Parts: sequence; structure tokens; C-alpha cells
Amino acid sequence: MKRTTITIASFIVVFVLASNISFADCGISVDFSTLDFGSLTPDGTSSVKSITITKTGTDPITDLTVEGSDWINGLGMPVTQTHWALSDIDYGSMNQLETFSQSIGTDVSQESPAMVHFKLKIPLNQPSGGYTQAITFTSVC
Amino acid sequence: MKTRNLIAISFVFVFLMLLPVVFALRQTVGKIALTVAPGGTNNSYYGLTNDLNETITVKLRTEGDAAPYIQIPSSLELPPDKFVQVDVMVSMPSDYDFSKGNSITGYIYALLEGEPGQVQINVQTRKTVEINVLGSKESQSLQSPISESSLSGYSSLLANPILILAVSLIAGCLFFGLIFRSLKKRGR
Repeated sequence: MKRTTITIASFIVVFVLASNISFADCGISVDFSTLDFGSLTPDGTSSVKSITITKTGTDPITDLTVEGSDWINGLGMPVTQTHWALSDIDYGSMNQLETFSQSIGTDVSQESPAMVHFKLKIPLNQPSGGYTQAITFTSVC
Repeated sequence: MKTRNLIAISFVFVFLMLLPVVFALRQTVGKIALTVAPGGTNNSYYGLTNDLNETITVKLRTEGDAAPYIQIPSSLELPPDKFVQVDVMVSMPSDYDFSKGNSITGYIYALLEGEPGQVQINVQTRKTVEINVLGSKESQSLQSPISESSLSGYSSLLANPILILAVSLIAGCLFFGLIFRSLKKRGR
């Protein structure tokens, strides 16, 4: 009886210890799954829209990148009309968003999330309409 | 009192509704390295975890020089906060001409798409896959195809979480059993 109890107790202890084995992982979380620059007139620049990126998981990220797609609608609009930066600065001083990945840096942690700011400028002769774009954040580890 | 409670509940509900939606994806660390001979296959896996409170679907794709040789599922469903295994199989054609060399790199992307809107915000993870192709262009005609590298088969077993759990369980039971047995002997 005593031996059985000890065996069961050992089994429970080992099971609890074993079930707590976790795998080293990394990733990111963002606070919004969509953005809206609102309605803009040709040659107009939007107000700043920001996304907060927080690191998740146990291990550091080895790279964090951002890329975008061209604006879709009729004639379309180049992806580069959207600019991004890690601080809220003038549209002209920000980085152009590209269809290939650009490094944001790896200085992102649970304690200090990264804030990525976006602004959009509409070209002077851009036809009116509803345009859409996709922005993708990629974490590497 | 009842009205006060109702107001408090409504306030909490509205507050929760106003909280930003967190959108997140995690993957296990490290690159996948597989050794394979022309005409052979090899496999491994890595893990993805969804941090949201609902089941999500991620789209998987491969890119890079090794992409044509990597086989993965096109999409996966990830339940909340659960490790989901992504099976990765590498298959080298028997007529591989070594034009890409012996070491070929590819990437697996797991894409979590945001909500449709003016700007859709996506989150994705990138996993590096390194394929080490055995042999050389000169020796290709002399080599017979290898179906699976024993080394990678062994490493795949070691990387299996269920196996690790089972082995830990058995080893732990044996360990505690021996301790209790020696304690019992001392008691006598």
C-alpha cells in the first residue's frame, strides 16, 4: 500500500516537472490588425498612425522587419507613398516603405516595446478612390 | 445597489471593448539544418504558438534557393496558446546538378493576416532552413540515393517533445524509485 502511494506520488511529481518543460521561442505582438489614414486630398499628408510592437516568447528576436504592398485600386499607388519611422518626425525625413523587407532593429523587449509611426502622402494627380495596402511585420529567431 | 452594480459591469465591459486587439505569433528558436543526398528525403519540424484567445489560421510559404526542395503544409490552424508542430520535409531530386552548391538556404514564412481595412497589418515569422546536400557533382554518378539520413532521423527523435516528455517521465520515475528504495533499505 505504502509502496503504491510512493510510486503514484513520484509519478505525479515527475509529471508536473516534465509538463513544465517549455520550448525556447520568440515572436511579436502588435496592438492593431488594421490602420486607417482617413480621407486625404491629392498632395495631402496624413496625420501619424502608430503601431506598437512588443516582443513575446522566451528568447530575443534576431531580426525584425517591415515591408508593404503597393496601394491597390484602379491605377494603384506606389508602396513608397507610405513612410515609416521609429519616431514621429516629418514625412520627408521618414523611411519609404518598400515591397522588400527593411530592418526595424532588434531593440524590442517586453519592457520596452517599439513604436513604428506611419504617414501617407497622396501624389498630386492621384485619381480619387478607395485604396488599400498591406503592411507586414516579420520576426526572425 | 443593483443599479450601481449594473453601471460597474457596463463600465468594465466598455473598457474591455476599447482595449486594443493584440495580434501575435511566436515560433521556436533556431534554424532547421537537414542533411540529404540527391534522390533522398529528410524531415524535421519546428513549433508555432498563437498568443490570441481564439483559433487562428496561418498561411505557410517557402522562399529562397532551397524553396523548391522544401515541403510544408500550405496553412495551419493554431488553437490559443498551444504549441503546434510544423512538419518540414526536404526532398532532393536524384538529378540535382549541384548548381546551388552543397549548402542551400531557404526560409519558411508563417503569415498571420490582419483584418481587412484601408491598411491591413500582418504579422509573420521567418524560419531558416539549411540543406546540406551530400556528395558532389563528380561523385553524383557513383552514389546511390539515400532515403533518409540516420543523423537527422536521430536528431528528429531528440527534438520530439512527446518523446522528451516520455523519456523524462520514465527517467524521473526510475530516479525517484531508486531514492525511495535506498531510503527504505536504510530504514530497515
